[in-house]
Amino acid sequence: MVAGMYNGDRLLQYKLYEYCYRYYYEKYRSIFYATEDAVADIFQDSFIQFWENIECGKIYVEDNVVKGKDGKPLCGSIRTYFMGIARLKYLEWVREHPFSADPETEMGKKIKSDGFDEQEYLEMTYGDSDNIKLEILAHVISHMPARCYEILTKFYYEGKDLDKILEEIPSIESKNALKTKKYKCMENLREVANDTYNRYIKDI
Amino acid sequence: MNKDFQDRIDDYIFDRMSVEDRDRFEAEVNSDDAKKEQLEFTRNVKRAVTSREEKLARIREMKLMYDERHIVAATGTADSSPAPAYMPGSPKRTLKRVLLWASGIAAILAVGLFTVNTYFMDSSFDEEGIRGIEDIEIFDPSGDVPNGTVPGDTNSVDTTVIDNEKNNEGINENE
Repeated sequence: MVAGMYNGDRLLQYKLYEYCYRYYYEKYRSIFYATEDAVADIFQDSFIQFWENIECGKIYVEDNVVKGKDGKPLCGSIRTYFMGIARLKYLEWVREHPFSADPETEMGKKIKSDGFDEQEYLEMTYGDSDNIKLEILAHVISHMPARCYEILTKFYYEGKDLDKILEEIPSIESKNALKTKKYKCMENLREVANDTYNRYIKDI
Repeated sequence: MNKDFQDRIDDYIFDRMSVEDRDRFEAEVNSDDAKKEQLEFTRNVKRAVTSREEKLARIREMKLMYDERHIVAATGTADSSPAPAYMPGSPKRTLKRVLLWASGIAAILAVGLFTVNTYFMDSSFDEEGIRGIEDIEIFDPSGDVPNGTVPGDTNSVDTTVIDNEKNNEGINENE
């Protein structure tokens, strides 16, 4: 399934999705507590991260063995690896909702006793990737304010020009205002990504 | 970042420049590190946004497939609406759950009120089902006073006191 994901095999992509989805929804309640919407968002973000890790070769298949860091076989199953990513995504969610950690769950107990260790979190999230700046940028983009994400998606993914975007976001008053907003979003994105990168390299 | 230069970067990466403009742009970028960095950053943003959106679209498709397959598995038929039976976090599911709870609570309250009205408030109920009916003397609204007294019944003592007071004060209730 991992190889299939890497090769873009749509059937195997679905199989892997189903495999992770079922396990996640069976197990998450014993690991962490979150609202229904957050649980769905955490799964989605985790699967995207998992997928990106496969695409950039962080995990890969060699001689029918799934390997990870330093070319070593994974310690556990793919599902365990996936839930490891979900734990990280949950930590991100708790950082934004600090009073939501349920001490009856595994992650809740850990957070209550250890607090949120940002450096540990950065190391676990990025590891020693070759494309660390790209990874950080992708990660920061996934947490952008919704309006910024909307503008950048419409412009850079959908390929729409500013006049078209202005029609679709009527709350923005003028083309100049939209252009300024887009520029500020990019500038903010750049600052946060650089800041995260600097904090990361400070500790490795 | 240079705000004015950003427009040119966008024209360049979307291939909206003439050949001459492209050549001039590339020469300018190659001779300026800050502009080179801004171009590279914009390319990376485009790449990251595109990657994320494509994955999100594919995940939505797979979610629908999963829900459809699980409806078939549960019902044994494919004659189901393509809408997912379960979509975590969907507003429709949350609203449905709230409505179910509200109707359940309303039903319990209605039954409770009915029970209270039936057994404790209604005086025209069937006497035979009442335990201890032989110990209860029913007050006759026509004005007749029941014979004897009922233990603890305030009618005999208090009414007698009130009647005596009225007689002493010369109150005529018929006025």
